[in-house]
Amino acid sequence: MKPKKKKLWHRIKQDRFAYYFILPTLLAMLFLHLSPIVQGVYMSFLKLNQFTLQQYLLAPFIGADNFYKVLIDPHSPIRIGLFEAVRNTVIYTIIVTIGTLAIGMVVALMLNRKFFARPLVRTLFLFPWIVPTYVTGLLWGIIWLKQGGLVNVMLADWLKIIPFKPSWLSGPNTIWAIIIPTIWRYWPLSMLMLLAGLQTIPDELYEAADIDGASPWRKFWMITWPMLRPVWFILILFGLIYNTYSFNIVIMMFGFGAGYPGEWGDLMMTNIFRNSFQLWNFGTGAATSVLLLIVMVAIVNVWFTYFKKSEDLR
Amino acid sequence: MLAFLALTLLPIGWMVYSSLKDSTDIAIGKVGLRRAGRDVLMIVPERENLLIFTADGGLNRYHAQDLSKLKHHSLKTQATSYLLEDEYVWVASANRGLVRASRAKLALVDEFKFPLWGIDMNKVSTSYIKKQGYDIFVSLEYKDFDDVLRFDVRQLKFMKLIKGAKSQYFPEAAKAVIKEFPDVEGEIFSEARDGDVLYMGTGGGRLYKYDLNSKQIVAQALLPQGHLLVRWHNYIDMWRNVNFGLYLKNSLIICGFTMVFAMIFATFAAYALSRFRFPGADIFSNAILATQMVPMIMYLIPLYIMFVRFTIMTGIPVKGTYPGMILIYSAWFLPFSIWILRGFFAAIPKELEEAALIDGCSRLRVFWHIALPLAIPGIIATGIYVFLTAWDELMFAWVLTDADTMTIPVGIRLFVGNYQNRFDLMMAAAVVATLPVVVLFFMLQRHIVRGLTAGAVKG
Repeated sequence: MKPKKKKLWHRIKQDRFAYYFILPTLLAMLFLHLSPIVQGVYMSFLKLNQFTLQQYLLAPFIGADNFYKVLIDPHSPIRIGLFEAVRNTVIYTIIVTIGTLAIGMVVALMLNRKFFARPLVRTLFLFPWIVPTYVTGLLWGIIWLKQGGLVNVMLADWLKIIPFKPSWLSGPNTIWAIIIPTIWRYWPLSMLMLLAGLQTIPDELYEAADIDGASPWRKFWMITWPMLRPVWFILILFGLIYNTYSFNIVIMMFGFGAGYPGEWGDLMMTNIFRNSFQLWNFGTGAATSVLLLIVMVAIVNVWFTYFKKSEDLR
Repeated sequence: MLAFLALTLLPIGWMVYSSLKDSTDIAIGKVGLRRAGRDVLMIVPERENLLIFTADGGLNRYHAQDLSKLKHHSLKTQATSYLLEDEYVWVASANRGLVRASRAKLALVDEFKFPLWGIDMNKVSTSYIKKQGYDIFVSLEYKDFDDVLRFDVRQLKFMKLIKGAKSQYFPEAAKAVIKEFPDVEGEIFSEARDGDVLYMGTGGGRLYKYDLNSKQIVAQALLPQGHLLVRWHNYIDMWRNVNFGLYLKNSLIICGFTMVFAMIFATFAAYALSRFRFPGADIFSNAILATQMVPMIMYLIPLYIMFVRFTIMTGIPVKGTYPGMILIYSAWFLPFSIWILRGFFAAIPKELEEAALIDGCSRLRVFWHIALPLAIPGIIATGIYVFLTAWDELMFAWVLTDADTMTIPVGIRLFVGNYQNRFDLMMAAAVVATLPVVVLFFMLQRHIVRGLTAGAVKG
């Protein structure tokens, strides 16, 4: 036992330079990442609202009552709101993740050929991704306007596809009103990554497939898609995380940063934010975010395990 | 593919287009730009010709006999009023100030901006102008604007503002006279009598010649259309309507310092992680990755209460200060920066540093003189990316800033709310907020794209 300990100490001493280098980061991580998370978890067991805010961590300890309110209590308004938020977030995350990947893939394939002014076209395609997300929210808030919005003007006045001007920012249409701008904002990133991936695939694979007389469809599923595996693994992973935590676009679109997104537009983040900073229920807000974190860790783990397993199979 | 490109860029075009429109037009869905009204404000007989001045700044000379056009020049003004002299035409307008035009040539001579600040020029409905001695007096119809501007013709400059003198100098300002006439379309805005002939100009830009003997209209003409109202002025008004300059400054300060601090700490940490296999390195790098999974709001709730409590306990303000925001942002962007920078350091060959170590260089010198210069492009690209992401951050800023330290995403919401609905100014502000991002991104596009895609392609 003793020699091993000595060896460890020796190694620490030898690499002390590295410790000096990570020290500031370590401190920042401890005080501004770890400590808030621990406090957040603890807060989820406290009755913390605007009356008990002054006591903070000494606020009444109520055990799992916050979780009961959030998950089980049939009379709690928070639970009803949360159910809608969870449903919307699931729909939103799945459609946005798949949508960005699909559009990004199609455009990346188109851009992977040589044609006139290709760098310019690629750069122009990146434009939506450069627009800040809060601007995206405000902009699409104007585009979805019932009377003057571009969508209604195009569909009803110019193309005459629909006989009336529907309301996009209220009712069940809202879910589309938040999905489409998010896909619009994020697909260029997928395209960029997939394009970089496409350029690493050796041409010989396609030449060999051509000799075998494979159809383009088959070539895509047998060569392109498997070769892009590391790219879409990362894209789906980060898509799941970031879209579940999506906030800016949705909150800015409804009432231009002041409104409630409605029962079909409310996401987890907007729900928790409203509970915490507008209704001042910090306890239930913290409880909801703890639950969200647990679900997220589970999802990421499942995705990693699936990926590892299928990697081993290959 | 070009069609898809057009569809992709359409919303951005709509944003820029909306920023040049009128706020009401955006709300009601009027797609085209409005044209300036060509109401005939003044008709002056001039030997065998007529001088006709319209509300869109149109200076016209028409033949009096058959009302045919001889000359047309548009000053493209809004809320115009005219004062005619022997040699010059003085034009008071909302968007161009006081303009002097030559009467003979009907062309611009010079223009003088009003010494006014804080007036939303798109909302000025009318202007008034009159002359006494060597002074020209101008006033505007705008909310409760009650002052008169005095312009000295000999010195050609504006003198001191005369406060609250509008009703004294322009008693007719309160009255509005609407005249109508049989067989004349629209309201009559101006008329002029020349012998037995009466000339009438209407709101829609029509001109009639009425013979008083035969009691009938002998000729009529339609004046040239007004110019398109492109509201460039939105880009000036947005700075006055809300305190956008302050928000821009706050965003620049907070994001700039965040970028610097995050890059300093991240460079050290990333170098340590990529060069040393020290005990705890795995835990540390896994912890960095794990922070990306934690929802932002989970930090925000405790941080908010910590900030408030800290100020109560020590009296040092943290919430709503630059250092507080910079601290939070730097910490928040650290893990991501370390992760990207680690890739850049890993790409630098180790042999160079090993050789230097054998030659007797200290660890610090090796880092400072060999590794750091090679990593500078990567550090700049990552720094810019951090800047852009901080520029885009709303949730922390919403809760942790106050009126003096508000950043753009928080402040831009004030254009539309309880007191006003200024979609046009909001879109102008959105364009202004997007511009720095576009410029930075395209300057460093290659580096950022390489930094982002490198990790993904390697797997």
